[in-house]
Amino acid sequence: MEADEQRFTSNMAENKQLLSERMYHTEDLMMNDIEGQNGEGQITICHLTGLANEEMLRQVYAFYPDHVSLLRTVTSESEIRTISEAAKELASGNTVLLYHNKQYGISIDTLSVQLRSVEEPVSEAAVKGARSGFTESFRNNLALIRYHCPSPDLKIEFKDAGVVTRTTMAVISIGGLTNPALLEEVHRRLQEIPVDIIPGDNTVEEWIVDNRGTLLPLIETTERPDRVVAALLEGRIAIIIQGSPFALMLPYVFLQAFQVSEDYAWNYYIGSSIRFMRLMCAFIGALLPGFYVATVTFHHELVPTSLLQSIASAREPVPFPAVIESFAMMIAFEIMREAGVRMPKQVGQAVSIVGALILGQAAVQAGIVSPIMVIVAALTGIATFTLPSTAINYVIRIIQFGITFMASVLGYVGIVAAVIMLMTYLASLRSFGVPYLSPAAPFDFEQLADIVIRRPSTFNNKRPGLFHPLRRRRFREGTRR
Amino acid sequence: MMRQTTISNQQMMALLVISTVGTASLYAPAILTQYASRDSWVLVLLGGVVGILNVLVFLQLNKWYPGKSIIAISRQVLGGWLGGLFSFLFFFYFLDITSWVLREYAQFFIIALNPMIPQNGYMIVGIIMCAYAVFHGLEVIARVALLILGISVMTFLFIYILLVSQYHFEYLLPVMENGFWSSFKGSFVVISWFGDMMFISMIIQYVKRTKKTVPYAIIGIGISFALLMMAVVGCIVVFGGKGASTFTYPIVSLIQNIKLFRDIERLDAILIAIWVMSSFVKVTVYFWSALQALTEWLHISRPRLFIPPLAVAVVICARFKIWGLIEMSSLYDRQAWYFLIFQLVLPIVLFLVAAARQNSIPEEKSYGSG
Amino acid sequence: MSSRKFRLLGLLAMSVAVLLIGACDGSLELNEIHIVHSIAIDKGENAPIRVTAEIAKIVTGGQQPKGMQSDSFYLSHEGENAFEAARLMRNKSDRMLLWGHTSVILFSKDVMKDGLSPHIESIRRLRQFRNSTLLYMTEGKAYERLQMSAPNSMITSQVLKGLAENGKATAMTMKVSLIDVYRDYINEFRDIAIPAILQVKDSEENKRILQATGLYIFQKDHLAGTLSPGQTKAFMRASNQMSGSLEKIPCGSGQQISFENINNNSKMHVTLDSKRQPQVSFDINADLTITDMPCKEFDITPVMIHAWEDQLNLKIAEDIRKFIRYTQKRHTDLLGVGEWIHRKHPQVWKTMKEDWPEQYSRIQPKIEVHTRIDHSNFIT
Repeated sequence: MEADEQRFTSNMAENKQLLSERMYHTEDLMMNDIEGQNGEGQITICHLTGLANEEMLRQVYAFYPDHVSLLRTVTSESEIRTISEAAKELASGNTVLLYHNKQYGISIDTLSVQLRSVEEPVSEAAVKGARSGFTESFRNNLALIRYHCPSPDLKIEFKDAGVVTRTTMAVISIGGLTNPALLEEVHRRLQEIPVDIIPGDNTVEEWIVDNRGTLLPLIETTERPDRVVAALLEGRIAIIIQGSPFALMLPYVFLQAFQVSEDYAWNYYIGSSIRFMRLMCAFIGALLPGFYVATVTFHHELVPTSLLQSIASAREPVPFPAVIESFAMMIAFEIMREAGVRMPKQVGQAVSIVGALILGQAAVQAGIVSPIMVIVAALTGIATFTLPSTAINYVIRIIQFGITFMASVLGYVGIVAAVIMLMTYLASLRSFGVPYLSPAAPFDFEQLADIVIRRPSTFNNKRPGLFHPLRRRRFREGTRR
Repeated sequence: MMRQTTISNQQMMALLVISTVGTASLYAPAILTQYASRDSWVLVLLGGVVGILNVLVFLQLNKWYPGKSIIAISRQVLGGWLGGLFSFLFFFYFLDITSWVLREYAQFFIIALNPMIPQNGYMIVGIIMCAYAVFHGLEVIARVALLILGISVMTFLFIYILLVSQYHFEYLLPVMENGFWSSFKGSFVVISWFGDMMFISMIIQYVKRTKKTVPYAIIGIGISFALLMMAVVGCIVVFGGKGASTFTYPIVSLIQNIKLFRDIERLDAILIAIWVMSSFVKVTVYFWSALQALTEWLHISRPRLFIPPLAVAVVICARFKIWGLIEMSSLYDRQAWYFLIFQLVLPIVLFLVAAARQNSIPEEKSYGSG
Repeated sequence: MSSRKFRLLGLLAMSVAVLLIGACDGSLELNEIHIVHSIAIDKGENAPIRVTAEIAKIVTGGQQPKGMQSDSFYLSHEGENAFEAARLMRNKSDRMLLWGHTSVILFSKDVMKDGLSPHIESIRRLRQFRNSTLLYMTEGKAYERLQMSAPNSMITSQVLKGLAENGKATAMTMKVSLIDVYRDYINEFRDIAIPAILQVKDSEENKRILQATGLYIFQKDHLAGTLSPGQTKAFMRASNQMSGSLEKIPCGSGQQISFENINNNSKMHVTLDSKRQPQVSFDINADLTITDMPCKEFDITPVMIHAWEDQLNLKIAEDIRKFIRYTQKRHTDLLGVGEWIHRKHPQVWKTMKEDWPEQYSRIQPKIEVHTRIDHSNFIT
């Protein structure tokens, strides 16, 4: 670190030499000396070719030195005093101006990379509501949040992480609302990330969660700026990482996985019923195959006689036990899902045809699986897709396998045992100190009602107390409800 | 972040309710109707009253010695030797109850669900679940317990509502045919069921005490009383007093009587799930209490190390404890005094000694400690 | 981190345990079972009990599952008791038998002559049977009745279930389930009646089919007699189990007006008179509609309606009186009068209990019928 902390000297040749060495003599580093006109002295303009915007550079060259002060007003700049700072600025695409004899330089943001423009979020599509999603552009993402929440209370703090990459992260909170203890805890955990490279948001997530071996996501990720803003107004904190089109939001509780910002774009009856349906789908997704297996292998009495008769005759040619059958179908479904994601869009059509025909119809006709199992597998698979959180969606698929296995061993008792273990596990998790299963456990009726039901906005006069915001009231004092 | 373990009043209530109602709702209708036939509800009433007194003893002890479990209290009140003996007895009792309950449930599932699955299977899966929860500590247990309370109460209500058309309240008549006192023969059994909440002496120190703690404890006993009453009365008004006494698990038969949409019957297999849950809570909370008692008794620094050996001990103990169900229910019947010793007699001895001491020392400890 | 070690240990213990259990599991695949739909219990030739099971054939092939329309076959075996016979039947079957879906148990009259309770208890002891399993009795061989083909259904249990459902509308037979019989018997609430199954010739085709009319009645454990369809109707009316029936009254010139009973409500009051003798009174309200009115000489006027109502009142009361007289002769307390005395006057009942059948046969019931002819179906 000592070498890195080396400050600029007044000797420009030495400075250039050191900078070049620090960047391992990379050949796209341009360093041009320009003679001052009004006795300002010599100046060196350094930048990496390709990263810096040519138009801006031209302005820099043309304006110097008389209008440097002008540049300061149109674009961000910061004063730099050490070699490593300069190197970092250069690596992020900025242009560094080194003043001779002054032992410091300034950096001008001239970064220009071809990035995609703001598009509709892919993983969180909505029928109604805002359609903008984050992109890979850090500044643009921050601007989007500012745009969706034009408040002077919005506070953005920058934080660097990654020993090599020094990726910038923005910690976003709302002053006077977010609990300072929470904010401090976030800063402390971000500080402690020891990795050299931050490839994306998930790395940060994995380092700062409470329980590193967690199966479930303890931090929410989103592509939608409106969702981030909604989270901020609940007293939560968002983190945006340079180069990632996802924002992290924390703390996160399990039941929030069933909320979609679109719920608030609809009438509250619609919103509530859709939300409730999603909750049911999570249960179907996790339990249905297990329930089927347990029912047809252990608890035949429960099925209405005529249905049992039908299932029995449909299952008659199938040579495998129901567990194997259901595992086969579940795995087949997983394969199709993964293929659907990875496959180029042009051949996507083929997958659906092959999937529907071969795996459905033909497998039944060949006597490999029973038609009931196909229904079960399909319903289960579709049900999990209703969940807005992709992470939870995948987790439920994993749980599904475990529960099916337990069901095949002990019947319904096995299912319940697995569910209890899962409940215990969920109850033991915490997200930044907030119990993961709250407000269901620890139980809080008011909060639970807020999270399970989408209440009319006019009734929502209090923000959820789960995240310990400084102010609970949402409305102006004395507003009539 | 080191946080102090605290559980809320509601969670304490949930633990109380589930661990008293869980087993009792299975066995009470049959055993009580054997004693008192259609007048069994009197016994439940009696049990509820004694249950409230019982819980008040523990709450009062806690009021005198805030932040202390019954182990520490018995040390302080009775001194080193006798206190040590009491501590050991309580530890032994908690462990014993754990294995009793485990066995009870394994037996129940075998009879009510599937006699082909071996008993050991149920017991091993059960103890793994419980050991896992004990490993996570009281807070997690309490949180899960509150969820399970919600599920159980809903399910119970669901059962009784679906059966409304089959109730014949005239089956409760005549009341007290053979005089008032003849019904009280089974009172030991029912008191020992309500006495199952004696683990409160171990958890009460972690309850975040407010003014409402005592009301919540009493409400807890009240809910378990109500659920037990519904179970007993429900079985009587559907099967008649004598009918209910001939079933092994009348409440399972009660569930079998439910018929939905003409064709869906035998819901017992699904609804039995609630007993898996309540058994889980009960075994867990006793297991935890045993571990806690052991920790406090021997001043163990890393109690989690003792979970696996205790778990194995519990399973082995449960396996070879008794021969079969008939022996078990007759033992519950006749040897109920064994449970009462630990649930009622020892705590009251402690209570009386403590009361005597309290009178001699000026009272300084206040109510709200934590 | 010691917790990690524990987690590993827990996982290990778990997998070992699960493997242990998995090695000896108790699951039954659907391909390994036969579904039993109904059973018949007869006297065996070599052993006391002969159990016959009706089992559905599993039909494969074809895209549509057939549900309850598949064919059935029969297995039977003899044994010391129902349980043994059922167990031994396993030796004749290629698969495990699943008894849990049995919807009908058909007893032969012969087997019931030895007493009701041993059969009910042995069946209750098998946990597989549903509480709602229907009970029937029949003259002659029960298994022959079970093997009769039905006009539409292929599975006899479906026929018998359907017949029981009709009881509500026709009041010729009753729906009696296993748990009802068990409860009434074990608590001694009332004496038992079990519906009868007859084999009749269908008038149109020359084919024999099943018909459910009448009841077999028991005095405690013993088969005491049978109730004719008319008595069955009176019984159901008196015990408030009826909702629909057909009533007829003459209207001169040998013709009869038919009424459809659409609603019936009956209350039984059991009291003790001043001499501590039991008194039974019935309070019956029934709604009827006119379904057939062949007598052209009458108009349907309020006056006539009242006259008919009076006639109906008398007729219904007489029916019930006849039914009660018959049960008194047979000493069967089908209505549970004794239990009502027990409930209301437990102390008196203690003395009365011993010679209750005698006491019962001396009761003179008071029957009050209030019929209301609501409307005529033909006038809209």
